[in-house]
Amino acid sequence: MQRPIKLLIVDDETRFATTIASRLRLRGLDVRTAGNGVDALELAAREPFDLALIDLKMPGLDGGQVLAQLKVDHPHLEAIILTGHGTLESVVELSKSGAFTCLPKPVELDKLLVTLQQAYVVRLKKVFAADPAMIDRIEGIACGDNPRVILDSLRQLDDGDR
Amino acid sequence: MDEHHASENQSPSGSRHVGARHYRELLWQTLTRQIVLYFLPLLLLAVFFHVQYRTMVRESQEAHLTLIAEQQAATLDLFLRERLVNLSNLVDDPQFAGHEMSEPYLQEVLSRLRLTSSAFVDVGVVDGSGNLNVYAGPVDFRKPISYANDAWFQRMRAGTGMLITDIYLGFRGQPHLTLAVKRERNGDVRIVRSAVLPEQLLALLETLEGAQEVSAAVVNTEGVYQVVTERVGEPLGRTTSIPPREPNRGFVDEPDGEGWAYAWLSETPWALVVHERPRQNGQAVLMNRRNGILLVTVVFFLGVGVVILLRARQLVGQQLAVEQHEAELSGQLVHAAKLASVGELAAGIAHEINNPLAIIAEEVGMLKDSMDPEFGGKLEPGELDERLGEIHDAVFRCRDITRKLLTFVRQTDIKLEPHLVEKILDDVIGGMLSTELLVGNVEIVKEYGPDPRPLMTDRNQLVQVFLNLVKNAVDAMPTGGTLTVRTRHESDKVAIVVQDTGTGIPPAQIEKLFMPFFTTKPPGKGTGLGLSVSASILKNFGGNIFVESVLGKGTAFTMELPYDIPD
Repeated sequence: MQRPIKLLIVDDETRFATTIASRLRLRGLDVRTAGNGVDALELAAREPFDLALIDLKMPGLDGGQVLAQLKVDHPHLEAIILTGHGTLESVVELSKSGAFTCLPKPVELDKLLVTLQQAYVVRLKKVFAADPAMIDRIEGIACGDNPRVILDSLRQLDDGDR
Repeated sequence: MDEHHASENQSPSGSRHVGARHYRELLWQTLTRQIVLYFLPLLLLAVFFHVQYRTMVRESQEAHLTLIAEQQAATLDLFLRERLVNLSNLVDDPQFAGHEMSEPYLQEVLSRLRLTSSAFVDVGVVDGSGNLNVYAGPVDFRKPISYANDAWFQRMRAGTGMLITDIYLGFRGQPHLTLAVKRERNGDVRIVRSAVLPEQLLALLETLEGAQEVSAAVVNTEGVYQVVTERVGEPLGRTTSIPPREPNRGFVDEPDGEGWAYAWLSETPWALVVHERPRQNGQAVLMNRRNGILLVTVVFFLGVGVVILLRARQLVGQQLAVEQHEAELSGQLVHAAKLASVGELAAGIAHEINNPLAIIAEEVGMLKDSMDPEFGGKLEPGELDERLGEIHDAVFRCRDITRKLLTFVRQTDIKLEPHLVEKILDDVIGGMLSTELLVGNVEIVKEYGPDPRPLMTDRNQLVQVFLNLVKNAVDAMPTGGTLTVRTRHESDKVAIVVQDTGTGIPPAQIEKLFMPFFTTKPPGKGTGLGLSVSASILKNFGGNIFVESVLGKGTAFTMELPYDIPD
């Protein structure tokens, strides 16, 4: 069951999306990019994603709307919102509609990796909520301090069916 | 508020002058209002009461004079009736009737008659032909006297039993009146007559109650004075105050204001005419009273005026305080709005700059990754160039934003000169943007209005506005179209229309159109500042900008600019 963690990046700044996607691929993630909300939802309908990285301000469907729809379609998907504003009121609103957290643009890659790892832990805990032994194992692995190592270990727990 | 403070600091004397003028204006307004509110009703009330009072005094005076006239008339009536009765009693006395008439006997009768009233001057017996047969009295008649032609005798002969004559001079050449009583016995007519001097009547008039306040006189139907004091006129003189017969008593108004009362006697056709006696000291009393009332009124009105003035000052003070408070409040609101717009602007700037910064960060990170041995440590051919190019573009995106922001802020180095908007439009369309218009397959239609007038403006800023609008129009027509540029010169302003046949703007976006950082263009293509900067520039020149758009048909931006910039 060796399967990479699948990440969906949604941003109308396509150059930003493709570059950060390349960097995350180098770090072992399976990344897809979408230039707008509609493309993102289509992509998510075709293949399951574990995590999503969504830009807040986009023409057409904005980040909040994309997030809400993704959470409806894929309850176990954890999404991180990227915003150039750095204002807090949108953060509160977005966590209500199911965002794992908000990160300001530009974001340091290490910080992004830690956040992705935390989001993935949350996702796994939800997936295995009925399995206390599994939760313990997840928590044990999550105690480490290298997010890439943790992510690598964790993904082996995920059976990828959910 | 800030600007207000600033101007105050620069010219404190000027603003104090304006403040004082405002204070005076307010004070006058308030005073006028208060005077209209308080003085006017008070004045009307005062006039009303004055008129009422005068009418009342006049009416009571009329009533008083009329009463005096009635009383005096009644007194005279009584006196005359008594004298007639005296005379009648004498004539009807059987002793007198049967007695032989002789002068000594008549002297005796006269002295008896004078015991009843000293008014009787003499007594005489007249026969049916009017001859004075016997006479007793002070007048010495040398020759026989006949009353045959006298009016009173003829009246008696016609049937009157007794009468009282008007005052006349008669044979004796002295004003007197005659009482006469006629009796017939066995076809023999005997008339007893007696003269009465008017002094008795005059004395009666003088001694009556209220006589001191008035001038009374008795006149006959022709207005001839019968009984009169020297003050009023000569006996047998004529008066102009002839009382009317009906009603038999009343008050006559004279045009000069001095009226008089009258009352007709019942015994004889005489009327008592009563004038108010003009009194020197009375007039003075009246004047004093009038002055007193005037003084009280003036003092009262002055007092009310002072109260009104004080109240007006107080009201103006309150008004000014309220105004100042409002000004402070609105100043605070303006300041708050400024802060809010600065906040919005800052958020917009953050967002627009963070996006290219994020690209730079990722490109740099990717370059580092590419050189990292962990990830292979090898740059693909051309990758360095490509990524550096992206970084370069992102940096200049940031620069564009900051540059446009500066136009927002920097509005000091404006050079105002007269320019024709048509000329500037030609420069923008035919010069700066000619290539873009050609490449974009845009047809240009110019509809410049007649009578162009130059406009006081800054050419560079106006060029920027036109560039923004024309570029937007070209961008709205990706497959080409028609760009119409129209001008219309009105009396005080010029209207400029830039119209495209492009995609149009959805209604939901129209209201956001002039907000900073609002853009419909893809990232990196537009800063979202073009229209907001344009609107800001036009506002600075006292102008305005409007938009009309139909989805799928096109958009028209209309700008209005006054020829002269307001202060």
